[in-house]
Amino acid sequence: MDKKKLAKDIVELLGGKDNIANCVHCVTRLRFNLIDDSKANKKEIEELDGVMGLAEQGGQFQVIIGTSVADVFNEVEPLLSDKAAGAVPETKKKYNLMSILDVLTSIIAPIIPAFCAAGMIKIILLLLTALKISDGTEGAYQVFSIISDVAFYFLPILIAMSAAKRFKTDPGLAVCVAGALLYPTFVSMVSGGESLTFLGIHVPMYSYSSTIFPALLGVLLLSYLHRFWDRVVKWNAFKLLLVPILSLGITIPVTLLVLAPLGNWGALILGKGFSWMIGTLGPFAGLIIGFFMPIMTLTGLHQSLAPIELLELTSGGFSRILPIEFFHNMAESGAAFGTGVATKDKKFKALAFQTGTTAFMGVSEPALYTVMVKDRYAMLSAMIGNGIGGFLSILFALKMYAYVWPNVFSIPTFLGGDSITSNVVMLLASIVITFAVAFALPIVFSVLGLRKDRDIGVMSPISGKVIPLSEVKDEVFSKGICGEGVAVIPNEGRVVAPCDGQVVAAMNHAVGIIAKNGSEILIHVGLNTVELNGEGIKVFVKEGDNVKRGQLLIEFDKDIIEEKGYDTTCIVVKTNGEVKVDNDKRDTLSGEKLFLC
Amino acid sequence: MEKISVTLTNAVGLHARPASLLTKLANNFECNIEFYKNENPGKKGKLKSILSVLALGAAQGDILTFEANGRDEKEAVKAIDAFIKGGCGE
Repeated sequence: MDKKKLAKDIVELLGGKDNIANCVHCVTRLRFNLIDDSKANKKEIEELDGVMGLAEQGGQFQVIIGTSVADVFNEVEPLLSDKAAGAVPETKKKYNLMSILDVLTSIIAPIIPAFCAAGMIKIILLLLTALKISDGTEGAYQVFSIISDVAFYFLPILIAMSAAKRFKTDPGLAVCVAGALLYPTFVSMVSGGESLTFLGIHVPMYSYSSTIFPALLGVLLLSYLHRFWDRVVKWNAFKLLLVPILSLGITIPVTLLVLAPLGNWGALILGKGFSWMIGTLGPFAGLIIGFFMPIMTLTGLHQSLAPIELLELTSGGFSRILPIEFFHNMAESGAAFGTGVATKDKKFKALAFQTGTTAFMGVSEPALYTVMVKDRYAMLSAMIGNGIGGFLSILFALKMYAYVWPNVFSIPTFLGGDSITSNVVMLLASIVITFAVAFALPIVFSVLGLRKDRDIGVMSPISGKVIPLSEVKDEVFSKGICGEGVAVIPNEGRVVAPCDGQVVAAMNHAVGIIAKNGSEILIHVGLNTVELNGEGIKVFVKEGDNVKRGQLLIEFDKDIIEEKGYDTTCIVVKTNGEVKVDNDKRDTLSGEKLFLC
Repeated sequence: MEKISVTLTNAVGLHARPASLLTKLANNFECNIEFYKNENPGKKGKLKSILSVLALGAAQGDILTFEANGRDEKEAVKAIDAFIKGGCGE
């Protein structure tokens, strides 16, 4: 199939470039907005070689191409006037800090349960030894110590598995890439200080256990190579054999030689930067490190602090950076508790208190990944709290005299040096201040109206049977043109407000509400019921009314409407964004949760 | 700024379906688009929000005025004109 010719033909048959107001593409379709639909020659387009079909939907011409749509789009694009072409907004790739963070979060989030298990067990083990219940030599202690460490030691494997999913590549091969970094032969060569040459090139020898970026970069490379070889190897019989060999055969050496050391070098440069900062900036270095600590922890970069801390401990006998990590947990805990107090969302509140407790115990990741990533003001609060903690830490010259997991049980490691008592007093004061600041900020942000609850629960406005929107017999809803949500086949005629908010549109068959978090919710009673002109339906609210969840919005007579031949399915959609639906095939009572948005 | 006035012809006005389609169309363009009815710019709506379109409550025979501001304002206004004149996809 000649894609250039196909593109040219499509554009011509649609009435030329001047008739095309806009063109985007999704996974299989070219989507055109035409200025004059009548100029399009539908029949001939459908008959073009390479066109699988044509659909018209929502004033949009969709030319179905199949999976090679991107290639055809690339040919269509230069044929259009410079303004008309673009990728679909939802798949538009924007490379900025947030998208990198988004990729990192989506890769790290699925492996958090493993971290949590390890973290909690680590704390219990620390407590057992601190209270002298165990001396750390029993078999059971050893086994639990393995559990507490396995997720960290084999972090590259977990990352590979998760990254394979995110980068859409073969999970088996991805795990092999990470496994190579941790392969016993390689590990023993690293610890034995031996050298390794690959085709005459010296392989940088680093330990890659507990690292994120080496495996991540490796799997990223794998995803490209795998796709490349899959495309290049045309011979299907050999595909199964050749593609994995060629993919791994290149990815693993390149990862060991370049990508993995690159990840490590990045960490080392970071470390040198910190030592220099503390030397020259004093407490302000603590402020800066503390401020960015939540983000570093979120991205896993804080792992790279471990070598610096160890260096500090082996050379001077104490660490000044470890306390900032300690304050990180206090700040995360404070910010999570503060957010828990500030939020009105019950589920989020429970989550915030729970993760706040875990953070106080020394495991901040649950708070980071469940509360901070969802609520930027919680994140900001943690950052400011941590910044203040870092400032005080360097100002009071707080030091930790042993390498530990920084949590409340590690307070004893602050004891050392000459002025033990003042050290402890300063430490306690700094803990209280850090926690208090991080706790107070989300509440202050809420009072100032800056922090808003992001997810609100939308309740069912009516009792009946919940069905997915796709089953509604009206394309505007079933295709999601009006927005995301669910439909309820009602067994009563009383429609109540699904959430608190302000009525912005009140028609004789539908009500639109803007919720406190900015979600625009439309409750639409029945299909095509606009034609009834209010017959059999009574609306009890008007534009500008503030409504409470459960407040009566509309009453309708199901029998009258159905007699006239109308479908009474009630649609509840958010018209300005995504929603999270748990279960869209069940019975519901009025007031039961439908979705979060 | 590009401005255009069109008379709404479809029988039941801008209810959920045409409003959704119109908003979807508007969202294909980069420019900011506002609109009002019957030459009353005192009550303007944003075309890129379905609820805002519904809130205006436009009925058959209403004159709708669209004001587009931005890079692709000409194309947007053309597309909207065609959409309304074509009966709002109904």
